[in-house]
Amino acid sequence: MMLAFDFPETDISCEARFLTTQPAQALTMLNSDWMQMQARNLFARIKLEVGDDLAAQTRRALELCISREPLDEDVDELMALTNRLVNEHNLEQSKAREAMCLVALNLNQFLYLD
Amino acid sequence: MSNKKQNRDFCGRVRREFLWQTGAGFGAVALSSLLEADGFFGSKAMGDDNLSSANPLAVKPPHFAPKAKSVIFLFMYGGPSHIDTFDEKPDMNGKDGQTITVKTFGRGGHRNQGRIVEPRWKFKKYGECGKSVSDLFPNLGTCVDDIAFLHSMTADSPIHGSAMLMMNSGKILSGSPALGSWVNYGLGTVNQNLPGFVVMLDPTGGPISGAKNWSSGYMPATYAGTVLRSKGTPILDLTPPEGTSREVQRTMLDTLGEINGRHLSSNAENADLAARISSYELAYKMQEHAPEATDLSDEDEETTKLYGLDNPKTEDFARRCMIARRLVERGVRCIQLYSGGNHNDANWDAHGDLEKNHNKHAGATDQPIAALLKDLKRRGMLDSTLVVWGGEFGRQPTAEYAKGTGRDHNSYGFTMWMAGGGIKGGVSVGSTDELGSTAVEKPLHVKNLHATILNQLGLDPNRLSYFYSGLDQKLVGVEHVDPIQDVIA
Repeated sequence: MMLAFDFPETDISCEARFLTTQPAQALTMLNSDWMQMQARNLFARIKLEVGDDLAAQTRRALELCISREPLDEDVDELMALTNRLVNEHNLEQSKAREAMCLVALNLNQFLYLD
Repeated sequence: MSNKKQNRDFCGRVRREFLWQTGAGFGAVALSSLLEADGFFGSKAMGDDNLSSANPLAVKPPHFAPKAKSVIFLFMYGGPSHIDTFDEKPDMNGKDGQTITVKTFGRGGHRNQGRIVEPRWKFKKYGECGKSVSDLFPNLGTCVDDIAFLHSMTADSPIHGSAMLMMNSGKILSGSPALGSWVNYGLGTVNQNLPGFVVMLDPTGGPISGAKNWSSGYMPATYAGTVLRSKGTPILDLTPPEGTSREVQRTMLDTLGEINGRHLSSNAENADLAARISSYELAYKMQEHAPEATDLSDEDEETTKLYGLDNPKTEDFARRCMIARRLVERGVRCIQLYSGGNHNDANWDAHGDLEKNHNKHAGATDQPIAALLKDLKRRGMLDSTLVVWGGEFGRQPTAEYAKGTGRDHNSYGFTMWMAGGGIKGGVSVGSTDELGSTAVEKPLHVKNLHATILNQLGLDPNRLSYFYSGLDQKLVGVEHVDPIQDVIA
């Protein structure tokens, strides 16, 4: 994870991290075991905080990831995703919701500070 | 990451904001069209290309008919000694240990004299052209009739960091796009399912200046080099986790794209956001196409033996050379392989024991590189694939320390070679003095090398430009630079 995101050499001083944007980072953020775990943890936390309602869960996921009031369109988008995954792709409800959390963790708004 | 930090616009605002703030109205509209015509505003390439509707990597026509479609840059990181490899200096024989007056400039600073270190390997003549090659490269020796040697290369810095940046991006300071970025900017990429600029590092690690060596500089980040690992799977996390089918992932990415797209519309000037969206799309395609491209299991035994995949000494570089050939077959424009990484003797930087160092690195690369040239040739690919070999500088004829064979860096004169892609075979251009300390005949600069590479790919080096910071930036710089006509067939 660190290497994918430009972990600097530790034997020379690094006044400012040099940043790259690479498809390998996208692959790590989507596919790695570690991110799967983070998505699961996020879902567990959300469930504890707001219960089982999908709308509340998606809103909370976005709130946690982007640290501000989410757009209604974005909440709806994540809800629609979850429902599509369950209805069209036959994912188990909990797996679909974890996937929703993974998407939230992959948002540009999560990775970049404005 | 702060938007302000990444903002590359001259006055810290986008052109629309500039117009609003200077008084929108017909006057401003007229002014803006006048300024646009003068190229005042940012290059079109930086405008809307980053949004998913336009593809910055779409195929673009070259300036003229190209000879080469792809370039493979074999980067001998650390600086191989030209005196001990391809630039024979018979005058040094018998003079080992003698003090001589010669101006040198390396990491040890400026010096006026030194102790001669005689070449530690014997030279033999090869091929129809009768080229002298040292015993470090017996296999490459058999390919000399396809190779053009550049013996009078010069560069601006004898220090790794800046020399690396110069060889890769044309400038000794960081912030400029690398060669592969220029190539992809100029030509686009043939295969939209793989990156257009691939870098494969040595297993020991990356070179000094790291990712700056394959950075897209001031160009959109989609042009930056993509690093493939050389140990284990070339790309980590290429397979989606169990339970995530391709369709499921597609649906997730579509949602991600929607939300990111909404965010992007209010942050249009942040090139990194758009680049990241593109990187997800490329990642999606790579999952399907990269495994096949980097999987060597369908290569026949004769080929794997030719490269030396079966020998632990050559296995790593052989693997990377074979992957490079496969990537070229699949339309990747620019591939850079680093021989040597990390520090000191993990790369060609022979400050200590010259023999041990160069025996190791030549031993690991001679066979695979020769095999690459031969394999490209027999597959009819050599004419359309430009191969470049060399490091960021060469080495000095005199010893760095009071004892030992170690040579310090030398950017006053060193050797590189090119093959394929419309380059003449069996020729040598330029020369250094009798010690190999300085280029004396037909000195060539890194800029000339870059100009030649672009030229072979069908791009006019003096015309290919990217407007940034008030200047039409070019890989070769502001002055006119000629390709090396002597090596162009």
